[in-house]
Amino acid sequence: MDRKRFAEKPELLAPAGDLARAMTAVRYGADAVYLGGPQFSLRSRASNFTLEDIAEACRFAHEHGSHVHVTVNMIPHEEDYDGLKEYLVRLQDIGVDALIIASPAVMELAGKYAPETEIHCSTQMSVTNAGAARFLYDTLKIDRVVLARECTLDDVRRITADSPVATEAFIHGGMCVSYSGRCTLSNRMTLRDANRGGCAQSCRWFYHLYDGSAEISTENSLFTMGSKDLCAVHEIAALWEAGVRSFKIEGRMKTEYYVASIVSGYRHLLDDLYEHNGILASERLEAHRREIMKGENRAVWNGFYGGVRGAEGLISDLKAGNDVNHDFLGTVADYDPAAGTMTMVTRNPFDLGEAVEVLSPGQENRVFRISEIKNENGEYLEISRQPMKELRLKVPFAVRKDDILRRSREDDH
Amino acid sequence: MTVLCSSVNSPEEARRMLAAGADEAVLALRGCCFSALTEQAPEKLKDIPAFSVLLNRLFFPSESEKVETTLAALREMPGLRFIYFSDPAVLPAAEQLGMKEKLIYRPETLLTSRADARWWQNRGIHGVSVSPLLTEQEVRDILPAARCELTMHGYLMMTVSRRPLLSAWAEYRHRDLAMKEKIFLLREEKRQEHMPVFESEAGTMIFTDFIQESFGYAGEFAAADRFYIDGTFLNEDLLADTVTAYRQIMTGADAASVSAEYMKRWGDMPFSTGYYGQKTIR
Repeated sequence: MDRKRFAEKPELLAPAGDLARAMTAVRYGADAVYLGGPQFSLRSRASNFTLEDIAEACRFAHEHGSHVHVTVNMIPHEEDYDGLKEYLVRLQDIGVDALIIASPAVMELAGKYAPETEIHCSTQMSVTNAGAARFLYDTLKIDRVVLARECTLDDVRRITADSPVATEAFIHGGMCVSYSGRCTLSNRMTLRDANRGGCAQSCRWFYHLYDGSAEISTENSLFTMGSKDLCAVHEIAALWEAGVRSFKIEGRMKTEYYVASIVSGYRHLLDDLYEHNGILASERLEAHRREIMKGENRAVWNGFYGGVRGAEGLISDLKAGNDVNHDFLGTVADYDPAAGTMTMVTRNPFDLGEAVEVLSPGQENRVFRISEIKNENGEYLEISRQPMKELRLKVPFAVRKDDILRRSREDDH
Repeated sequence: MTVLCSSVNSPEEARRMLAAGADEAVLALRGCCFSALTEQAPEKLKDIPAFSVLLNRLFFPSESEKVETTLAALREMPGLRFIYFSDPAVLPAAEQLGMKEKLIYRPETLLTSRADARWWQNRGIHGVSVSPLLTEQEVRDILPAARCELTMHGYLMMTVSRRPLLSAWAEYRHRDLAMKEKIFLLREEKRQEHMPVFESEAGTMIFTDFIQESFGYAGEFAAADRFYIDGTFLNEDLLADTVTAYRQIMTGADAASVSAEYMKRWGDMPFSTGYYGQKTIR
């Protein structure tokens, strides 16, 4: 292991579907967030950022030493160029640090109208070798390439070693079953354009499979191709050692709780690796994995980093890997140190006596048992069943506004 | 003058399509192609008088040498017209061998605007193959921007995965499936149409449930540099009739009459004009 590699921390890049999630990601340790506006971005349903929101995200991120990357990564049709130049100029003016772009023509425009802003080649271009990265650097002066999720660990090593620009690799979150940008299942099934943000995730639907005219599937064994999510905890050190500059978490559609949990988990993992020159005992690594998985509610695998595999990376059963997670109990709205109580805003049900874990930015997670619940009238409660209610709880240590409260799985080990 | 080309499944089929009216046959090179069911060794192509090749895979680091040796072998073949590619790394590799002007960028889904078509054209390659997802108006708009090829006919590739999806299904269900060069069909649970799917060393490819047909558009799209017929799942007689039909229209025959005659023989196949009349939304 090349310990010198671990002298410099890679970027932890987190998704943000709105301003609140962008701020949460930064608070919980993201070195950069990526987000999109409604017009030019690929996740149109998760791209709610107005220019004012993006400006506010930049202000907040920069105050915290973090960066903002904006996705302009649709595959454009003619009408998609309307207003694009002005948009690029504005993004540079408000201090966006990088643009994530898939179309060479849009990259060229970005180089002209936002020359101070970095250009990152989107994973939609499916770069799978250093030659492609070099070509895009030579012709478009890109600053970074987001590697295709189909790359194995060895591919990533070789591309990063030979690439003239920094590489970015996914470490967690949803995966397309197909090469990004090369799938039109959604277009055909729903007339929603996957390459312009309308993907209906038709890969997760069910299909009858035929050999000629004979069906070889049954009602209980229909064909599906939904991918498990990526979780690269065990590959992080190798990716870091390979020289990957940025570790990306997928999930602009995900909740604030998910963003906080996953970002916090990977922040702690990266910091731990940094402190130990990239070497962690397997038990320690597994503890980080368990911590990260508390925020995940889908089945995961280590993606193509473990090689090209079949069934292992797919959700093959109707119900497998899609458990609903009810662990997010709420957020802290206020803390009263004199009384040793906090006001929380509820999300999922909980009971008196339950163990609660507090996620607080920059701190190790802490656990307490609920000894007292009061409603807004000061009445004592034994259970909480309604979401978005303000309740007052006793808490044995100081908490802060926006800290996240989740059910503690004491049997987790 | 628009060139008419047809992808074929063998050198023998190539000769038949050239006789039927194609200017070029398009063949897939072994280990270099996403979209073709059958792949050929380069030496099998050397006697075909006019052919282009599909080199349209995305290549991984261990395959860079294969790209270079394949290009070098192709350079020596007098019948070679063009090389289809989708991996940007192919372009500088071809440039080093003085073959850049033989390249046609065919990324299946990624080329949907005039500006992108122009950008690729300006790299000094022969031309671009535009996405079949464009509407009739969008096709008309993009044609003047570059030397454009249109996929006029055939099943359209809908998705390409690096994963062995059929094998994965068989593995999970403990079924024994022979995959090599074999077409299966998928039918979405709530629909009736069947989509061809096959698995190769490159992964799994799924095609549309319909056969794109553009007989009525050939005149309107005459400014295109090339018309492409995808013969991957068309039987040889159907493919030969298709080639002849387009050749007739391109040389002045009435498109409606040609189409009507063609449909008399093949009208039970699932033809559609695809996305020409319906725009996909965001």
